[in-house]
Amino acid sequence: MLTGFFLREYRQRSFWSAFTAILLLSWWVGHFGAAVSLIESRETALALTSWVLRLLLVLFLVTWWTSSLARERTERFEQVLLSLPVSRFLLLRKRLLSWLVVTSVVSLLSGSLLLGTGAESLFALQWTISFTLELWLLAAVTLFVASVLTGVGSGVVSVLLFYFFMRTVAYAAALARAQWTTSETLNESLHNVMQAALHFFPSLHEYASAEMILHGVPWVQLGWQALQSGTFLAVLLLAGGFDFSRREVST
Amino acid sequence: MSRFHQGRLLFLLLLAVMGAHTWLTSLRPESRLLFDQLPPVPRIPVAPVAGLGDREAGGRLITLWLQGYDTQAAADLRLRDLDYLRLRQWLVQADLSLAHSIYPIFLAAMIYGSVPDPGRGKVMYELARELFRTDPETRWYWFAMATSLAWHRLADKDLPLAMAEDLYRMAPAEAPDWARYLKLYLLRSANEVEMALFMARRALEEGRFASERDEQALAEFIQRLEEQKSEGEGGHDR
Repeated sequence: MLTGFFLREYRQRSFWSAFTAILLLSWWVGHFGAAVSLIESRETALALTSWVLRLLLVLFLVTWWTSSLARERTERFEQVLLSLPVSRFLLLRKRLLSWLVVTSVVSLLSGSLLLGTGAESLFALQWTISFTLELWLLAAVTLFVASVLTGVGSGVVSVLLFYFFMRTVAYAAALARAQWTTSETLNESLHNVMQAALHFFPSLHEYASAEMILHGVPWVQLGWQALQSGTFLAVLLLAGGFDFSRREVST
Repeated sequence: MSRFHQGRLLFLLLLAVMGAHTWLTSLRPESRLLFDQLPPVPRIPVAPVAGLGDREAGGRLITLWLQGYDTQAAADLRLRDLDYLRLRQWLVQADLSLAHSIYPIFLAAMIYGSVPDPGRGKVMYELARELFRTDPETRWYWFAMATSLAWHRLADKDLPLAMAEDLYRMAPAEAPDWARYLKLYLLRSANEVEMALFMARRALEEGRFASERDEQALAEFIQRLEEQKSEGEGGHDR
């Protein structure tokens, strides 16, 4: 039943139309950049295409996921799900699994588009893996946020705020370190606190970056990203599961 | 209506449209620049912010924006009217965010350095020198072009000679002789035969050659310089 519901979602024409539009828009943006640039046109096209593609797909997928969860609530489908004789974790896991499949397909298609734009195959593969991991992480965050916040707008805004905060927090930390003018001891302790915090946050600025599609990254960095993404998936799945059972008691 | 009349009517319509177009164009106010000067570079790192967390993409956006800054909605800003110190800061910002890119040095050397104002040109050639020093492996070609252009465009020859010296010291092994020994050619063209001879002998002693042919070419070059020198001395004696 659950699988059937998600299959119906993916079969909707609007989903695939929007996805095709995103791919075409990204391709156009890349080629516009290439046409305007005087030199390094392939690099400029690749950097801009990967950038626009990533941003648009993140925006599109987060909105789609959040609105589908909100619709479940308004159509009372969530209550039907909760009344089924299956565990809450199973429901969450199935939902997340179906999202992970979609994100993998989406990032594979994006990687192929970049390959067509002139990316080297190894770098396109690395970028695709990294983008998949990034989308997985965001899927888990969206599931968690949507299980706490019920509105579509607040859910989308929260996830996007999280996303852009995570992408810029490392730069903000570096800037803050450069600005410190207080005592050495305080600097040292602040530095340690910041380093500890940065280890906890996923370093999203390194995921599927334009630099990755142009120059590639060491495989160990992708391994680190897989570890981060996996940890966040597990933690948020657990947290979402607890939250789900809490709301079930309240209803 | 006959075909003749139809044709005449179309011709008159065409004339009317052209007339209306000319009249409307004359009424249009002159295009004005939206911004007449580059904004100062913010204190925060611009590229990650412009790229919403993607430094490389942000750097590319900055270079494209800079490139289009002098052409705004049909109103052109002359390059020599730009504030070159700000332009330099923007190019440095772009370079900081682009890994192994030749775009900023290309813009500095070939686009902004070509302005008919020696002061502004010098700012860009000095920037090209700095950018080359940070990544000589990938930037030697455009730096050699910048050196050559600076030699012809600047009255003060100290900077191009210093640039050529950098090229000699830092150009990678795959750089061809014309780039590595550019200083020799510059000195000879300035009739600084003594200096050129001194540098050529030093180069021969150091022996950094890609092939025997290069070594032989340098030996022949020294020979020609010696001939030039002796001719010059003969001329003085006479």
